[in-house]
Amino acid sequence: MFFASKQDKDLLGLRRILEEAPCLSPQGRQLQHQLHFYHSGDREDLEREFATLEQLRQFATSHPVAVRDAENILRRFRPLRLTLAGLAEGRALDATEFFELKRYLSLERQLAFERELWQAAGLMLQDLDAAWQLLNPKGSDQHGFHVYSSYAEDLDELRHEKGRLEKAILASAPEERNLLLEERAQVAAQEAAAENRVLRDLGQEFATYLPALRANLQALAMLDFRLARVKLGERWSSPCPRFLPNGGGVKLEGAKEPWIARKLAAQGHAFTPQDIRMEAGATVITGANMGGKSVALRSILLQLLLVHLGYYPNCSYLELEVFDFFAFTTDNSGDGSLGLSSFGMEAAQMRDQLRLIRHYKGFVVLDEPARGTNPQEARAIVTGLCQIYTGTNSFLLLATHYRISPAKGIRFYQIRGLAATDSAEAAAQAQPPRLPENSPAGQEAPDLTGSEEIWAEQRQKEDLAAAKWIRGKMDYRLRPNDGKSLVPAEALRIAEWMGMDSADIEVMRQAYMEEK
Amino acid sequence: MSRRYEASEGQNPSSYLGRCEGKNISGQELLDLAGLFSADSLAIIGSEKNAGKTTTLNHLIQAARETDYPRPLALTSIGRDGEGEDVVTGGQKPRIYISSGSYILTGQKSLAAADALLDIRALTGVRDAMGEIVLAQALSDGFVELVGPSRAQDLNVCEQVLREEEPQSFYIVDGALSRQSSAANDLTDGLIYALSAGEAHNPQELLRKARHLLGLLRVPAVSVETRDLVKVVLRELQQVSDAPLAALSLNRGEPALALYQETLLGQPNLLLDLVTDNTYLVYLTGALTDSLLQALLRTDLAAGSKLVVEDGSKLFLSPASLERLRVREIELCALNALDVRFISYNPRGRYGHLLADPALLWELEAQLSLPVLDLGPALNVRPLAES
Repeated sequence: MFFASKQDKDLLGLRRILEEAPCLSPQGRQLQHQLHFYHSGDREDLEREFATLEQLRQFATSHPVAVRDAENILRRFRPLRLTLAGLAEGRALDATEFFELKRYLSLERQLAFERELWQAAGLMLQDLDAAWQLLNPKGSDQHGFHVYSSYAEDLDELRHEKGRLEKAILASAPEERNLLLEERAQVAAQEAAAENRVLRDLGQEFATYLPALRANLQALAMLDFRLARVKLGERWSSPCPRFLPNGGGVKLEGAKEPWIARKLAAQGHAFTPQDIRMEAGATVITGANMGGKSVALRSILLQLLLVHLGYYPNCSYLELEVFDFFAFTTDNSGDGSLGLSSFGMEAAQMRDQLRLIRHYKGFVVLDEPARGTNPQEARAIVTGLCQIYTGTNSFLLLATHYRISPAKGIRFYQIRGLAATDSAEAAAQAQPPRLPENSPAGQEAPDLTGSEEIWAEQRQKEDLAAAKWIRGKMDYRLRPNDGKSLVPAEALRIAEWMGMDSADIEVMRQAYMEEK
Repeated sequence: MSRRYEASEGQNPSSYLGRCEGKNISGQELLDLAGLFSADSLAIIGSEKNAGKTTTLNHLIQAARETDYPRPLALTSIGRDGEGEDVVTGGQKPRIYISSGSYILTGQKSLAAADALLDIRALTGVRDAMGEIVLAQALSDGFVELVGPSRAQDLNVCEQVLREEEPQSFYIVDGALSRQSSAANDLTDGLIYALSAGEAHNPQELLRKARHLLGLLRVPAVSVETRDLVKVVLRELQQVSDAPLAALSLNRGEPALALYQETLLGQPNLLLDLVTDNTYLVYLTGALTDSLLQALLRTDLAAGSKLVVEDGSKLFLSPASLERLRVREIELCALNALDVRFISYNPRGRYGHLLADPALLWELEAQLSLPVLDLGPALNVRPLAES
């Protein structure tokens, strides 16, 4: 299970990423939308699933034509849920519904020819040849469907009689026509009654194939879903994850947040992939503002979530324990409609998470917890959280600016940040490109009689340019540290680069030195 | 695109039912007049409810049967037609009697009302009140009820499904009520207009009504250059936004202006911002009604400007509105001209009176420059016997 507010789920973008592996059939899409999470008791199932995916992946690589042909057939399937429900309830289906069933069986038969594909996918179809013959009596056209005369002797006779009358009507004089039409109407009514009887009997007989039909639909859905995941894995050049027993920890290399990576690539920039090693207890990430801590958290969490959903991860290597649940909390975790402050909402989520870890093995990610309360208490809360998790088999991964004292069961990582790219002196002297003199950001204050929107828009452009310059200076890689080094304090430098007046910066710097 | 189909050897040139005094028309002539030997599709629209569309359709079907017309007919409707009883008035209605080999596109739930043996061939994916529209082929003669898509754009989808199954079929769309917009030029190649006496009590009234209605339908087309320009602008606007476009204006020395709206009906004042001092053409994608025209005439739309609709079936204007346009010297035109093949005249009026004077039909033909046929009742029809 995955616990997070709607806002945090949207921020993580898991659904958006899963949409990059679309299923082609309505049955596949339905299975995909169920979002089945594997938990610690399903480790063997998860291992088997990935073994099958790897087998299918190899097949897909060596037999692209077979896969493409199968995909073309999968696209043509239609939902059958209502028709099958009708059959199960004993409702009499109409000719259109039998046409749908016949069409489904025809497509299934075409797909069944790809035997090697089914084998590679670890799936099989039950034999529904008898059901097919039922809807396709000898001599009939395989393409359409109607209530065939061969289904009932009286039906055949009635249709012959009706045909005779129709010929007579066309050849008759107007004064004879009405009587013949009346006679025809009587025969047509009998024909309709016979057809209804046949449809009812056909439905009862066809219902005996319902279990096999449902099983085949499930297999088809799984084929579609596995192919979708394999394609995504190929696109990402994903590794097959290695599953470790309890206590094995998590080792992740080259983790990427795929959405951001793509956006950066479109701008001509590369995403910095993350490497990290975690064990039960707490892993603390510190780093400068704008250092990418939040993105690092999301990149790591996404890989583990994807794997627990049976998807390939977007990384170069992953070995992991299997968890029972995941949780994700940021400072954006609610809309305040309950009347709680941001810390209030956060405290409620922490409470739930702490209760869960007493019963289950969880992977909990917190982005700058306790940000919305006084720093002394906040530091104590965060320290306390780390200590609580060290006594469990659960994993806590958090990003913070607070200094947490090193202790057993707490690992530390730091975003390399600004200092790694330049010497401290060089970094101190570097400045973002000068803003034009007549730019709004260079002005003390906007003209209050002018347009607020234009001023804000112009200012935003310049702030984005400054932010881009700062990003160019940043090393986003994580490095382990011992927890004893100071949490980087580069907020003032960033404020200066964002154009805050030097006089104001100096006042803040003085205050910081006194505090320190 | 038009193709000519020659009658095959052995086709029966039997004389037909033509009720015009002294004027017989054979089945072959009827089909030729309707365009079944030169086109691929046809719409039948009516001046009002019970104008005689279904009767006209039944005549075409009968003529095709009697002359061994070589192409299978494919029938559908906008909305509901062919039901035994009028769902609105409760009166008896003619039903549609089709031949073996014909195709129909109709809602799934309406198949139960058919007594022709129908083989389901395809599902269109278009859904409506009567379920999904299915394509079926008749394996016997018999009565059917047609409940086709209720939106004109779904007719195109249905035709695509039909053509995949039977590329050679002749596609006939039967309109419903007086929704004339089924006959948009990009949906069918030509149309038959079913004109009834309606509320006209004397021939002069009928002539005035007919001239006005046919005048609207046959509003002249813009030049090829203007049509191409409007289409280019439409394409560019579609790339900017995929919101539904209600209208656009072309303006000298200025960019085109677009009005994105699902419909203008009930909101005519939205048009006021579309017209500038330099506007020389206003194009409406939907219907042009009296109230919309009134709103446009409140703008500065100059003399010599063009007011353009997709085709004449989109015009719902009174004679007074046309006069106002004439006084303002604004030219009313269509992007596409409609090909009205002939008028099928129903002499029975709404109150049961008859306007069946042969001289009236000759006068209609002379004034409208179109063949006018009183085909009379088609195959006599009765509801199914109670089972």
